[in-house]
Amino acid sequence: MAKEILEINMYRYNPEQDKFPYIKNYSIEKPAKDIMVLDLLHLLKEQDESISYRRSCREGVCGSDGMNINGKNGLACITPISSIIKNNKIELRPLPGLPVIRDLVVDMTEFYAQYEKIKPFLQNSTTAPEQERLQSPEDRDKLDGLYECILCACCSTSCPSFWWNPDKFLGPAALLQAYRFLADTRDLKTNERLEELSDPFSVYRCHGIMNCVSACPKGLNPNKAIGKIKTMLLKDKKEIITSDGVMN
Amino acid sequence: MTHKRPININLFKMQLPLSALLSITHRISGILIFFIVLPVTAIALSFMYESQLSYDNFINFYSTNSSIKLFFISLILIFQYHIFTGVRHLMIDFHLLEETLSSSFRSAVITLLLFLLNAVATIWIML
Repeated sequence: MAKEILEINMYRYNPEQDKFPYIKNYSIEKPAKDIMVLDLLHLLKEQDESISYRRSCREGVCGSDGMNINGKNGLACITPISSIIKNNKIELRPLPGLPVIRDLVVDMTEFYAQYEKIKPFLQNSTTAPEQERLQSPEDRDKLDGLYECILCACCSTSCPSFWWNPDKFLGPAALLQAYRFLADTRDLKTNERLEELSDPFSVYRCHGIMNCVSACPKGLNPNKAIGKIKTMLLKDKKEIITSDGVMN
Repeated sequence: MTHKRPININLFKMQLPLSALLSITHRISGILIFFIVLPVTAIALSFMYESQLSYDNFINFYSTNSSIKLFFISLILIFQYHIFTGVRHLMIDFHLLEETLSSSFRSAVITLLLFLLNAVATIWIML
């Protein structure tokens, strides 16, 4: 029986040689067993050594091999080719919306800058207990589905609001972490955190289109967290109105 | 680095969930309402209400010219589409619909079905 051929269209760009990015076509014999997209990239690299991509843990933990695979963002290391293949064709592109350094490698500076803005650390000025700050199991449960984010940027770079305003809209990844600290009973800076999120861009550019949920390789739901932040902001405003009689 | 780095954004190469398409078309219909539906309706109304004669003339022009009829029906449909998808957005914002991928897909399909039923009824009445 004739072996099936996989056709791979890859986004290529080398700033030292190319003025513009282009799509390069590769053909490869379809492996007998189902492999991950990252394994496919390794096979391609044997064919063409100049191909560049990030990878590290190869098991969906480090989040370095986020890329756009057949139009959908995901981690190459945990995406089996059988789940995305269309007519034996695969198109590999870098994460959308971020500047391309080379081939599938993008500059994540803007993404990390937004993460930094939400102050992703516990803020509690009270004296720390000898061992640890305790939480009730119910309060701890509130953090499930929030802390698991690996910052692969698959969600933020699939969000049109982040594409158009990467410097003003925080993006789903940063907002999920913002809610992670808002929901944490040990964090005492809830009001200050909400104040910093209350401008028209940081949170309110999210229109709930669900691209982030659809892209998240860890199955998290940033959209839900953003909805909860919006409700907290609204309640915060209501309290300001009732206490002062004036809307802040 | 002296030259600007490229950015990969090609909307035709992106796989978008149905809710994203609904959101994009909601925006497009909003733009169309602002720039076409509202001005055209305002102009048509001001023309109709000038006098009894102009009203009769307009109604005559509307009922005898099928392309004008279709044009006005499409204006109404654009407006209705914006309302239907807008109410879905409001329901999500008020947490009346669950914020999960499956629930979002279901509500998008129901919104589209309701809009289609409504569109058929509108065309039925208007033609």
